[in-house]
Amino acid sequence: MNSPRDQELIQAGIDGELIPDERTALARLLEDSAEARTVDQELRALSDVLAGEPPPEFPQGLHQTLIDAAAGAIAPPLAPARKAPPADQPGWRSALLALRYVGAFAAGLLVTAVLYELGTPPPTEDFTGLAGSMLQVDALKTASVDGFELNFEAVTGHVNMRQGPTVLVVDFELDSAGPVEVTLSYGEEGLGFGGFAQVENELSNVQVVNGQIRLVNEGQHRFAIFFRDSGEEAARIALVFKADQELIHEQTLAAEQ
Amino acid sequence: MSNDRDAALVRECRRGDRGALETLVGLYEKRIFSAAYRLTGNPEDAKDVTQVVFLKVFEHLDQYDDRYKFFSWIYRITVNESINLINRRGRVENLDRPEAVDEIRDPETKGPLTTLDREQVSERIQQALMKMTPDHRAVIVLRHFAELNYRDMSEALKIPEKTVKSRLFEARRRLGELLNRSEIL
Repeated sequence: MNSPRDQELIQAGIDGELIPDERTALARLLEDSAEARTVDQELRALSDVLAGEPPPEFPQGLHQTLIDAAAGAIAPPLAPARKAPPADQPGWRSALLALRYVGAFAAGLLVTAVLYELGTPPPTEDFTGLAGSMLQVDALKTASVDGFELNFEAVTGHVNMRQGPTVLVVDFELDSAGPVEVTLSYGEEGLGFGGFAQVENELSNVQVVNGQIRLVNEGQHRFAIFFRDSGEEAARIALVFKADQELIHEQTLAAEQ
Repeated sequence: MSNDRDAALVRECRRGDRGALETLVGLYEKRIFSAAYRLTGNPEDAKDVTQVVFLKVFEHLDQYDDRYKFFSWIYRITVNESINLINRRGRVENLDRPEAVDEIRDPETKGPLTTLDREQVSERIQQALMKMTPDHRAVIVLRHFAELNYRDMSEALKIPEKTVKSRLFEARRRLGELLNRSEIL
């Protein structure tokens, strides 16, 4: 068996990382040791196979999604008049959204006001740290229409759905020791993803893909997800909670037309 | 990959230059997607990881220390996010055990494939990668697909260069063994 030093020498030769002294040492090693030559051939064969691998196909629309996300992340100098994300464009839907830059609607009001309306009762009086979506004042006149409690080993808390003239809000207050994946399926019929807000900017991302919103909660978090609601038909949002890929709870929230 | 160029682009991005932002994204998007694909084994996951990586990079541009290489930094985030995503989904296919090798043989005949087209080769290479430990997979991806040298790999993985060399050697032997048994080598 070649020594670790010999192995590294052979490997460095293949990777073009030899210094002049090592070149001489490697040449000597390969000349003297059949085992070293075998290792050299095997590693070269592997490198050749991997070098022949074509790159994966780059997804259509991803470039623009990345540009938008990057521009949003450094938004103050780049895009002071940030426009609302085009929620109906497939490329945008799949964006992983930086929560504090998710604009819900074009005109804005501090999200502080949003969550003040949401809590039943609000868990804290201080929403100054909130970041996220913005809604017009009128849109905030919501009423609680559905909700449920969570009382499981993996997660506790409550979920409350509120409805306004053009908006649905699903308000979460969750406490989980480990990561709990929350998926909301809204089917995109009459509903459109409108934004996200949270008390603390701790949840790192929200995925919005083809009528599904997915996020992972770990610890205590208060957050809300906003939907634009055409009001043309009854709205149903199916929620699934999972921990370690195991289903904890599933329930559908509904709001009448 | 030129760090001087990248550092200049980062400075321009910090000043709010959208052109620099687009250039930087354009320079790295395919490389990051490719690395994420090799690390996660799934194009959708790779897409998610790529988005998170760029989001994090641009959110934390002010924390980037240009004494270090930009691409080492972005690859480090890519490796971490890919591994995090796999762990979060509980889909760690760390099947680095001898019997797992059989799974990459012909599913119908249970015997070795005799003729493989390019697509089959790619599929089996990716399957073999996914049977390795995340640490081994990461060094293979950074060396062979991202084409980082030992020093940059050390910076990206935050491990000593000596560890990079020994880990890379082990990973190559393991991958060679897997590909050999699946008739790729």
